[in-house]
Amino acid sequence: MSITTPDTQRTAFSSGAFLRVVNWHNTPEAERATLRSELAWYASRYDPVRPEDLDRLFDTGRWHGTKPGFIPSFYDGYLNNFTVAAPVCDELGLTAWFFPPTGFLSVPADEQRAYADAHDIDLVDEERHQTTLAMTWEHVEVISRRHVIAGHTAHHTQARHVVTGQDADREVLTPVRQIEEVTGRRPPAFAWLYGTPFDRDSAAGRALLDAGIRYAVSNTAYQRIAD
Amino acid sequence: MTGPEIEGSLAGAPADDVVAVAATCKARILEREGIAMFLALHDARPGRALRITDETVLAEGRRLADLFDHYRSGLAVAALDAALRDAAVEGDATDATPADLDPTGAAELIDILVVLSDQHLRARPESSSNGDS
Repeated sequence: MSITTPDTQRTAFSSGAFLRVVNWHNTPEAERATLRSELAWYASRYDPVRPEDLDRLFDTGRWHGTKPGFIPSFYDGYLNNFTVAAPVCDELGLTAWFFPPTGFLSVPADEQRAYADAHDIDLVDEERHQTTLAMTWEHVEVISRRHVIAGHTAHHTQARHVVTGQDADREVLTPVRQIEEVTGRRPPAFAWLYGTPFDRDSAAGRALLDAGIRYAVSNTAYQRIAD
Repeated sequence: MTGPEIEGSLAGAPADDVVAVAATCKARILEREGIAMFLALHDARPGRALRITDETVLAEGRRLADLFDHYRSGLAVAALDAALRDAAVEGDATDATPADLDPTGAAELIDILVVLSDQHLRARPESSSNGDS
């Protein structure tokens, strides 16, 4: 059954199976005040969602918080996610979920602009000529102390391009292993480029299961795929 | 209810001009703005299903579903208008596959969710007295 039809989405909503998410990509310094005021607005109305909160909701059918939950998500491993988004979330006491494509983190600084351009990682104009564009693995470790680090492939890849075992190793198993080595925790969630949903029968879907991922994150849903 | 507390919430009234909201959403700069989204929760584990029993969440879900219907209807009318316009124009042949044209595989649904979430979830700190609390 496809989960990406309006009818299935409506059915999920009407049965209370929904989640509030706000997705950011770049969080440049120029947007710090806006980001802070928006996140403060959310924090005044919603409680952040940690992986164990989602686990509990799936296990019990009940939300434990006094306010509804929401997930602030930051995609693509930009340096500005470390220098701006993470500190703002820290200041507000919010738990955010970061989705870095791990290949970007390992590219030498002077090659990051070309790498971003070649891998659908959009840059904001004021940062295009910055020396460094990606966060480092050291930054990932620091962020992970208070936030969630999730998988987002190695090279910002679509699920449909993961066909062989080699593809699965490069885009799923290795990134998940690297994140676990650096943070001490296996990523609880994983998102493909363009947010396509989990397909158990595809090489990409099997790779997520092999990697021990619990939540497949798509443009329209959080899917619990494993215990 | 009226006032800043319900702006950007499920308690707010649905937008009358859905097409105008959709146009505003299309103009947002995805690479530097926060995009609010109501997402579904699914249990894809074999033999498992998520059953929400929390009455507060269930009530919110029913309201969310009603709002979803409203925006779905509004966008369906707009899509029909666009289809009629496109039918009057001869398109170019293309080698693009469906996955190339819609890599998300859920364009119609995403359009609804973006508009719904823009109206009932997106932060509105400028209209709030506690936006910086």
